[in-house]
Amino acid sequence: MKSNKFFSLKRFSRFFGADLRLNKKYYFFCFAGMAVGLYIIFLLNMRYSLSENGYQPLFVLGLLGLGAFVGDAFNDLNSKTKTANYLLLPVSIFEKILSQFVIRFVFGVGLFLLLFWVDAYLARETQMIRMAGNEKIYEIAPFHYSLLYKWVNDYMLFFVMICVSIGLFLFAGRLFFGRFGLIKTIIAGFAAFLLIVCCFPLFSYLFYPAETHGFDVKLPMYELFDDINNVELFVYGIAYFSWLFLLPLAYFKLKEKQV
Amino acid sequence: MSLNVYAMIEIKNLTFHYGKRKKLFNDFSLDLEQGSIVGLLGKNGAGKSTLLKLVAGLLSPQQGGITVNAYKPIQRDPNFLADIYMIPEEFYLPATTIAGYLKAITPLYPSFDKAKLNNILTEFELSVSDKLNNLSHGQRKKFLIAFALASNCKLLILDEPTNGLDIPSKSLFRKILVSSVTDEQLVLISTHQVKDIDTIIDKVVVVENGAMVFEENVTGISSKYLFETVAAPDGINDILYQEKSPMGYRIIRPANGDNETSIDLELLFNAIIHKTIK
Repeated sequence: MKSNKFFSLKRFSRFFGADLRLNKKYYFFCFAGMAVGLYIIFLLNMRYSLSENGYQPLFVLGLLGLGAFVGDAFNDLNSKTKTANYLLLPVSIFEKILSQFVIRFVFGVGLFLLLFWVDAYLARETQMIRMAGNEKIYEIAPFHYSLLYKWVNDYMLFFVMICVSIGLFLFAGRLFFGRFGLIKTIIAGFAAFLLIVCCFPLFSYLFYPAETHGFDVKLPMYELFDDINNVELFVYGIAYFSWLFLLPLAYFKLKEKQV
Repeated sequence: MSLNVYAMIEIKNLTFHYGKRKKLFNDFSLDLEQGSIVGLLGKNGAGKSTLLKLVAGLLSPQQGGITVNAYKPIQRDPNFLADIYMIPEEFYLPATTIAGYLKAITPLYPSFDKAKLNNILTEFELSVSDKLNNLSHGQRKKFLIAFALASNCKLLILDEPTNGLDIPSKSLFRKILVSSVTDEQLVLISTHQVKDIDTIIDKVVVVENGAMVFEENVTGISSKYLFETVAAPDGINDILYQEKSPMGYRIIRPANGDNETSIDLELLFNAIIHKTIK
């Protein structure tokens, strides 16, 4: 019986199950590595004391690890033989994208947040036991996710969306490259960033030659809406709406893939 | 109603080239019907594997059209993919047991026959508890052949299926293939080891320099040509092609209504390549 060519729940669940079954060791070692790595990093940073703000760089470091896991999506595209095998699996392109999205983004983010919280508590308890007999009193602040609000204040949504956008860039960029896709995506990302940065002095020299000296550029700022100027709108645009471009890009890149 | 209506594979005026390189296929057309085992022959670099990839939807033609089971392969419709199975020359299998692989992948193929697979695995002396990454290349290939046949897909694409198989496995492969394929299936075999498939194919297609230089059914070949071994070719005037062999000379000559002989596919292939038979 013919099923819908874009999405069939039955077919997707079978494919999703197949992915988990065939790559269970890989996924297990990724998360086990993340759990052990975070625990060791916490232990090293909690040797004497750790303030609430001390968790901030550790959280960013953890996000980088999560980014690597997300950016390693579609690892069936690492070689031509694996790519051919992957493309010929009888599921739709949308289902292939969705499967990786669910595993890398939904499960990845969920498990990262859980592991970070569990590891922070385990490491703190470990260090408290170790320091129990010490005369000098050290203080290790407990970790809780409300700290995120404290760090980013009113920019919570912006912070989340910028993380999602970077993650989706790594996820979609992976489809442009074969072997060492994650590294190439990161290099391409930096190249794109540098290109944008270079555009500022270029346009500044073009439009404001008198006011531009070296990299000291003129960046005209003006209010567009209530409390939002043109530069903020540019940054918000990238943070909030780039997924609208990146997810379709991933779909069409995989659809057009040839071996 | 024309015979083309039943063609499972229809290739019309295909043009294909890799990047800016010269055209590998130019205005290439071919129709293949179900219920047959087709041998796709050609020299190295003739475009056999590329043609198989185009049929499977792994490559997109620059011009012309390919339809397989009324689908355009490059669109990779899941219903199309569920009805084709390709064994490429170089293949990938994950690091798991045969049982683990079957549990994961067979649900994606609706017509998969587990009993058929078990029978073929037994004949190939493979066990479901075997780890795929501990098997030799030949054993892994045998597993893939077993999987392909048990999938009951309408189109089976086998690229150099006998590469890496030992001699007993090659004859077993021929026996299993012939007994497993139904009238609703089409098996497209690409190989340069023509002797491995000469007793099982129903149709011969030879490609060279991006063009089809020969297409004929086995019955047609048998009725047109005689394949003989003679001590010396002297005195035989109608020889189309000859090759020296330890037994004397292997020759091809027109049948002219004489008794049929068994086809020497290697000799026929060489004759086609040397353009003495078209």
